[in-house]
Amino acid sequence: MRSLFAVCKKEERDFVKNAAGSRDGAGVVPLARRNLLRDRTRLLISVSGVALSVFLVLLLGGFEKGMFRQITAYLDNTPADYYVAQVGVENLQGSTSIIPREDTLQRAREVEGVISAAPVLAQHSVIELDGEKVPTFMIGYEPTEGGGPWKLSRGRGVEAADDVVLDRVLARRHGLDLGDELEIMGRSFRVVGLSDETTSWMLSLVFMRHDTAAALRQAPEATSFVLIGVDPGSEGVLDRLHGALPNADVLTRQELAANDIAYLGGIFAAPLQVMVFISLAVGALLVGLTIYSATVERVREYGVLKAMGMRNRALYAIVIRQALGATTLGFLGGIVLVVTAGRVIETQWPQFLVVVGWSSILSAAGGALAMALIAAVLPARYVGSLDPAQVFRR
Amino acid sequence: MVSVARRNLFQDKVRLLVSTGGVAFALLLILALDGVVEGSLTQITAYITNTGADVYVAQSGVRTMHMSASALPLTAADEVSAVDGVESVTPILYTTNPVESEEGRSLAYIIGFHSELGIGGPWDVVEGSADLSPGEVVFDATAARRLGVGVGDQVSLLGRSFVIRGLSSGTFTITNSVAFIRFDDFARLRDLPRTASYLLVSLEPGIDPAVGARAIQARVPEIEAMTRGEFEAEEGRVVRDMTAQIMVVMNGAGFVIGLIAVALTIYTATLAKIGEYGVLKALGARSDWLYRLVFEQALVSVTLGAGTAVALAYALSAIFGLVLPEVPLRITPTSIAKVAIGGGVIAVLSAALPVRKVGRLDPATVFRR
Repeated sequence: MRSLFAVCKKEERDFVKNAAGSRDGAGVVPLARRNLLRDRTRLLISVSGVALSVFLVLLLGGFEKGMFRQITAYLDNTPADYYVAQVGVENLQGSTSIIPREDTLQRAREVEGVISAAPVLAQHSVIELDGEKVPTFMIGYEPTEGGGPWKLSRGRGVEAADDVVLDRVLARRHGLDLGDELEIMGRSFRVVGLSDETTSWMLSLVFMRHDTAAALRQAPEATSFVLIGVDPGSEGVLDRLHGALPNADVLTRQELAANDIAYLGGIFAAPLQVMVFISLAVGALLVGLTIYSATVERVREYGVLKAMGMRNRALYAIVIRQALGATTLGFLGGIVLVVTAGRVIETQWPQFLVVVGWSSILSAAGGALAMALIAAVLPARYVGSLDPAQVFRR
Repeated sequence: MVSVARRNLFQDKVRLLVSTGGVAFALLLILALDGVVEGSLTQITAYITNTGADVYVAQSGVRTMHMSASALPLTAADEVSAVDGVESVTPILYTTNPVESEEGRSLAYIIGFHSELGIGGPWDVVEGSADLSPGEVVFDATAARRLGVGVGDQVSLLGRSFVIRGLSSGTFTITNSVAFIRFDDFARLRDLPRTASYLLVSLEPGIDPAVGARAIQARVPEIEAMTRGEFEAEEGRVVRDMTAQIMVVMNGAGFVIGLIAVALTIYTATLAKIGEYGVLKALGARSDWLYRLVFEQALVSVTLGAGTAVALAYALSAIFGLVLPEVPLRITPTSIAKVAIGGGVIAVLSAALPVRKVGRLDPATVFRR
């Protein structure tokens, strides 16, 4: 964007320099800037519009990135190298995996290099809190084997059959605290712990004992996944696991995480892209409207410049610089807005994570540049087709 | 008065076009998001709407299907059958699992149903048949096309191979597709010989579903009995509650951007004609008359923008229907009403700035320019 500014500036400067007969550029009139700043209210409105467009683009991207990070939190924080799942199941989210518990555990534990095998029964469940439907991902785990909450903000892990660990944010949103009771799938539970980093806007993790989860599911002999820990010095464990478990699939943590992200990305990609496109279009139209109005307002002056011999290229440069100026201001405003909004969201609605990285800002900058160039098309055409003689006749 | 406001607005067609576009796209933000949520609701409740059951019975504490698991002992079916007014009870099994072909995989709701009874299965079979033999499946037609398979081809699900016997329509959602297999196949593969996920209950003719559901709930312990309408509403609430806060943010942003677009248009249009306003004032035009002039421009601008937004939303919906059938965009009268009300508020607010400018205008200053 900076180099485009420089080129446009040079075109404009060259003309004014020549017209003034100046050799050193002294006394150059910054036409684009003056035109843009002449009506500050108009500029402020249009910059606000662009800022909101950029804010929306960054916010939508930030939501998506944050969602991916939240959705793989369990996989990222559970110390397992491999996951044994039902044949064909390649996701933690989305699919329901059912495998025989004891047989799978026994076979896995016998594999050379396997140092731990923990059963985890995972299933979605919608619970009702304060009259609100709350989608959860229930994790049934063995307290002695692992696979439970990795970070507790308060309380403890589950011990008794009716113990439950709730996500801290979920509990706060619904006024629940340690010792409170709640109903899940028709059974009463007592909150014994509040976990951290276990929520997203889509669902929150709820931890309970494995046998309790199996009873709720009416599948006492089953589990969903077996989490495998391997001896770091051991090689070929994956192949041996495949051999020992012919009726199950064995996936790495990375594979499961990538599949979950691909699945969710597939769901949200199209609606997100539509929203981003609409936001950019609005931004371009608002800048376009401002620059067009500023150009039409100055039609006599443009006519004079043309009559004095200013080439169309130089006139286009003035228009483009105005568009770039308004867009740059709006872009900066958009970044400030998204950073501020991110902080507010973090406090007010912590289930939403907004991740705005440099790559997102660069993409938004690309979008803003496109916005400015598109916005300059109509005013540039208008100036290009201007007949000085007609202007003077007005 | 009318002609002055309109002429002011329509005199510069390019500006009008750009500003209408700005308002339209801002309002389209609201309509598109509403459309996706409403469309998803229709998709997600499609199965519940189309099975033909009057009452649904689930595990106690389970009142939804999407993102849920329900397990009932099959003996519950006998108990429900014995309730007065119940004509038939059909158990189904349900889980979420991938359907795989050589070309790829599609996450699907797998429904195990009694194909011989014709209840709980696909409601719109577009090719082949839903009369299943063991090892056969009815799969969604769009998902099948994407996986490069058709009737007679093999896909694998629940860990074994199935032959596609039929293709169904209306069974593809933003999150997954639907595959129907025999109840006994499902029970065997999942080792669930004495379990059902849900019971689909048909009542005798003339029985009010609400009365029937209450009777079942009272007679059979440890279950949830809901009418079809209640079950659909519960399912809808999952989506609405999940997306409620996102809707607030997006609708708010759409509204503010729309407001900015109209404010900019009316402001620039007023400013461009400030000389004429001065002349009108000098000729004795009263301030309230001039204010109405400005407000009418705002209203016309918003009306044009809102109309274009609705047209664009319908166009987008049609394009999505053809290109991305899994992403539904359903424009409802409620969404249109929301945009109309929002547009009205935008028109009033956006006129504030130019009204101030016109109000403070001193005709003498204008003539001095």
